[in-house]
Amino acid sequence: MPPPFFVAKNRTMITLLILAGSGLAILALIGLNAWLGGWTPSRIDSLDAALERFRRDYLDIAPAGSVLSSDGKAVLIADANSASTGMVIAQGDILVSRLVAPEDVAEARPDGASLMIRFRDFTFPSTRIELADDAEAARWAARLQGAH
Amino acid sequence: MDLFDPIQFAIPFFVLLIIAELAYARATGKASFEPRDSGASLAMGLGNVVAGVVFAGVGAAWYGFIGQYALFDFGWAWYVWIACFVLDDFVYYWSHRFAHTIRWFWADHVTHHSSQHYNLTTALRQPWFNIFTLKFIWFGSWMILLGFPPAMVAFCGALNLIYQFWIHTEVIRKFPAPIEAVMNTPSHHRVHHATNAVYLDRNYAGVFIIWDRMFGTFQAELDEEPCRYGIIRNLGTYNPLRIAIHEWWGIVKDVASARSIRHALAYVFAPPGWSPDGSRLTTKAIKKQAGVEKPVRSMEEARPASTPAE
Repeated sequence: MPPPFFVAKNRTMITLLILAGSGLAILALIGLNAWLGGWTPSRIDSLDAALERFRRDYLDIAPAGSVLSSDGKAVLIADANSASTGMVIAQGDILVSRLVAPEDVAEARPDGASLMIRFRDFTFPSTRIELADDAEAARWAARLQGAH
Repeated sequence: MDLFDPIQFAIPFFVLLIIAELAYARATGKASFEPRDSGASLAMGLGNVVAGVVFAGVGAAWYGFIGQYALFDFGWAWYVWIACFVLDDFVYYWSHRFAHTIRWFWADHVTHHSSQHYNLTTALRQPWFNIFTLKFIWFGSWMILLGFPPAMVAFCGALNLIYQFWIHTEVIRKFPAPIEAVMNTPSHHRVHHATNAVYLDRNYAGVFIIWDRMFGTFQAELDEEPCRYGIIRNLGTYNPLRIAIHEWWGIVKDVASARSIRHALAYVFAPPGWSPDGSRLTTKAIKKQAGVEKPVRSMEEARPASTPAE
């Protein structure tokens, strides 16, 4: 007969208690993380830094033009070899890069000097990129939709 | 024998260690946490436990069924426990290796690699739909068919996962060489989570790094190549459900667009990144492009074991 230590009693109740306790612990840990701070919101300092970062993820990009958003939160890179556009977006304390083809873009429209982009990719949120002027926003919107 | 689930009992220690790492990170800056990322990882861990509870009966029924056909009955002696733990780690190595090299398994495992942070919460970022891979059949059956008691195999598997919790940290740099030679350590596992071309698809070990050394997949952490964490196509979402299903959905979309049965099968079973026209890159292609197809020796490994006396 197995020793009492190994006997699982009231297993369902214990499991439910552990799950409830874990849920509370998660909320407490997120709160602690937010309260302690210690991370710095990411920011793109220069086009060169963004291009270097992008090339780490997409080795064979051939930049034909690029632009850094006025708030330092995003960079757009035109690929010379295709209709695709590279993007580096600041998110939390990290940067996320993507190479998007026109068919990956559900909507790209200028809103004054801002560029609004919605993707056909549920792992990448809709993005608002602040550019220098209306013409630049319109130009990148056209490229993202395949008219380059 | 009815054994308790050690993972459930380990949860309070997981929480305490995360608090300790958070405090250490704040004090020294030697680790990095971001609340939304941490929250996503922890929520995925909880979801994994819930999925385990929900689907526990499926695995138990399978193991009970195949247990009837076991070749031997090894019993419960202490040395059987040791053999079970080591052999389970060997099976884990191969299961983990296939999880990176077959997209069907990767769709599940990618969840664990989807954070660009590497801290103790990342250890808990676990998949929810493990059941779809049927890995409990392909990899979980061997030891039971050999004659190890199913409860012992499950217990050793849980101990293996608990061991792997603490190695998800940047706080510990390296252990003395004899430990680094035999055990999986934070340094070895940082390499496994890194997306640098030289580090991709290396260090699959669970507890003992010897399997990677034996099968040619070992890569030491290089001082000149700091690890960059995440996946090749990093996620821009912290939504746990989206993280859990994104690669499964990718498979569905690719199979739906396939122009032949062969292509459809390859989208499911070929290595992640495979595409008919080579427009996406597999790990092999990335390594080739970067010129790091073979493991790169670190300065320490390249140095002679002893310096001759002058």
